[in-house]
Amino acid sequence: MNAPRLTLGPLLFHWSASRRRDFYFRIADEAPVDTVYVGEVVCSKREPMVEAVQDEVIARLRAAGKEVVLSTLALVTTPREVERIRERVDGELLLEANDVACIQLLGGRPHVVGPYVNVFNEGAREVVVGQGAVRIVLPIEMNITSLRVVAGTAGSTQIEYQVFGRQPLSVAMRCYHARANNLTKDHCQIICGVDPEGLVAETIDGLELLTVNGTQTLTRGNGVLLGELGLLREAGVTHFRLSPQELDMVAVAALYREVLDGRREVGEAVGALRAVAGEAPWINGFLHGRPGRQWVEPRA
Amino acid sequence: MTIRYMELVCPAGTPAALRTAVDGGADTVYCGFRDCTNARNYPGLNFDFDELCEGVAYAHARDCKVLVAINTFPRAGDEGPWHRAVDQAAAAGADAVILADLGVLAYATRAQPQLRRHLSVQASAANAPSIKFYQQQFGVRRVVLPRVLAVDEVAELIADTGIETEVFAFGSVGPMSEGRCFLSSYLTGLSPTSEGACAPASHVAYSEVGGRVLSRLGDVTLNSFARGEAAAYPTPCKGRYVTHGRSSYLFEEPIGLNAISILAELKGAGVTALKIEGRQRSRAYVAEVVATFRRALDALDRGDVVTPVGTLHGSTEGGRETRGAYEKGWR
Amino acid sequence: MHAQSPQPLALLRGAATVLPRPVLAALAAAIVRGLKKSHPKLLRNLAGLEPAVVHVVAFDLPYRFAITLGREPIALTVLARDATGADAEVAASVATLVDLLEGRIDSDTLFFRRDLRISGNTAVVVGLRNVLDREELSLAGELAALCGPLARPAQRLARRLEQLADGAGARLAAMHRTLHPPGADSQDLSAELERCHEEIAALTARLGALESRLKRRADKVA
Repeated sequence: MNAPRLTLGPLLFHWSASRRRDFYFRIADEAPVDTVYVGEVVCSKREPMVEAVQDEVIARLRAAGKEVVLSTLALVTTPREVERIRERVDGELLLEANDVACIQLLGGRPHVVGPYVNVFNEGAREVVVGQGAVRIVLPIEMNITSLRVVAGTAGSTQIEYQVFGRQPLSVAMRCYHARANNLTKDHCQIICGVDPEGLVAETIDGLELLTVNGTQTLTRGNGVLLGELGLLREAGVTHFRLSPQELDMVAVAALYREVLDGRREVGEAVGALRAVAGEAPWINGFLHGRPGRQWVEPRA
Repeated sequence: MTIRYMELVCPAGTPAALRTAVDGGADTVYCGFRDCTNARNYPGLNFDFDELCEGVAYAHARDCKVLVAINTFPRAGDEGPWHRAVDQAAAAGADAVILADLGVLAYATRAQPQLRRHLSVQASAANAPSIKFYQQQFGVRRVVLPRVLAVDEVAELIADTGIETEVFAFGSVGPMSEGRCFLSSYLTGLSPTSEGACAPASHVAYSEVGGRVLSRLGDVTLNSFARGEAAAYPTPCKGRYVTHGRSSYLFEEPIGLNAISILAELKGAGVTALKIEGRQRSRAYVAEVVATFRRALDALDRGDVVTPVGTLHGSTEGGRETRGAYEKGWR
Repeated sequence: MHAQSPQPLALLRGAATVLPRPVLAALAAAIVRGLKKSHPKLLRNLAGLEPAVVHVVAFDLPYRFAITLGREPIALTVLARDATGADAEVAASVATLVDLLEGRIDSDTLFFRRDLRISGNTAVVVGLRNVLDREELSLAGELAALCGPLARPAQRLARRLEQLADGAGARLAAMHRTLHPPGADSQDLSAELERCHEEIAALTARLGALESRLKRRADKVA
């Protein structure tokens, strides 16, 4: 079994250019991750702000020895969005395809298939591998039973799964962040930028349930699969994704790294993670075949 | 591309609904098998193999086509039911299968190459390169377009790809990109993508509290209705949520899609077929909606004024209707 | 819409208000037996559902009905208005329930309008609705068919209704017709006429559909 790889998924929230730059510079300098995904996944209206610092971020990350993957939009509808992806397929960076459009535009070039493309089974995996996928980030809804099948028989194809951070539940044409602020998507004023961790939506009886992030909906809770890293490795997962949150991601990465490398006991790491992981409740239901919002105490 | 007439594609949740749709003037009906291979896997609904054979015979005798939706995503290690469904649809003489999963598409292309393949809305193909991918890899002949596009975007896609398109004319307004929404499994643990039911009835509960009806999915309260207030389906995207201390229909109101007032525009855009949603609805709904759209389409063919809006008001979700994403302001 | 079903509607409401519970219970059991002959697939499908007891509550009746699903034989029993113990409950007016049973109205539409109330295990109700919707049922037809095995209670019901429902002459006559053996119907001029009307309407609709289909085909060829 090759050494497990730790990755930092694309930043899903809309942070200001300076904050974004500072975040990635620190990751480059301090975080023990092997791979960093950059680029906008949620909304093409954010792209100009994202790209303002992208080149320096990429240069800094590569100088630090990180593999850099450029993530692309999860929902592509306009010709302009298509063109933006087309411009990138011939670049130096590996692309993460989050819509079948990107796979088509890549025309067989090696790439990563992101979690927004439905690869739920062996048959779908074979199709994307045939198109040049070298790594597949499995959808977060996938449970351990299915994951074992898809990852366990993947051969040389790398398998990635998100093990930390709010979990993506849906993407839409409509911008709920705008709606929640009495705006429309076409005149949104990029209002999603005011909530660096998204906007929490509660049920009418006061249960914090969802996180609105522009056109994307995420879980309210933080997906924490620290206790399941061994299980996932055995199942055939090669790459372990941390999704950036507004907390000390360097510390989070260090904890996951230590557990993956067998340098720290899970129980102890869990305690340490509690101290840095903020107030959001922890969830891991999807992997255990339970409602995604639930927390199942992982077996030691 | 000039389309001379638009095909009316109607839902058939049961054999009785299929006959109702055929008799009511459907050009095409679509249905699914009684299992998790289709996205309307509700108790008591759908067709077994013999019923499908009878349905195909009934429809074909009346010059009507039958499509079979096999539009969920197989569970890993258990692709058999999906492959069998493709084979059975072919054996029953279905005119096409409506598929979403890359693996099932590959299987159908390989195992039943003569069987026409349509791309389900569950595949969420909302742009030209995606559509071309499915055309080139799997010979897909028709794509059911996601409910996220405006009419001019639909026209552009058709011009770019030359593919047959089927668009939703009546039914739900799906605010999320379909086939990749995990909200329902987030609450219930059952996946619409692989089990075929969003907000499965087994996890829905209604209760009366202080004169209001509370709807719950899993252990989560979705909504509370006053007496006489219109209700929507108990799906997470139609729930009421509180943001900034204010409760609202954050994702979508209790409202249904009705495109009857823009049939001419859709025809002008080059749309091949109009889809009526509702395999989960009773045949009384099928009869009413099919008849109304049949009249409207016939009037359109004759160049007459199309039936005024509002005739189907009672049948729409929440009893209200919208043209959804077809109009730009919806976003 | 309701105007289309005066007979079974009045019958049901009449029967349930007028008849003693044991007679009504016998009638309910007989309906199930009748359905076994007329709609064997329906009974099989009901037996194939998840085992459950569904209570059907009509707002305007003094009783409630209990349907036992997911076993053989399916049971339809009559309970006191305030009985409990159901896995799920469906409540609406008699008119609505009959329209639902006979497939004249869409339950989701009723639900959106809040004319139909559902509580308890929703999956059971959805299953029952879907299985019923697979069949073309006529309550009047089922009652008429009963007149063989249950001639006496049915006639008694008709007599009691006649005595009680004064002023509703036309409707009662219609009910009476329904309750008499099917053979008697053919001699009834108004029934015959009604059938002719229906047949003509159905033929006209099919002719219209054929015409438009032919026209579209011609367009396609052109």
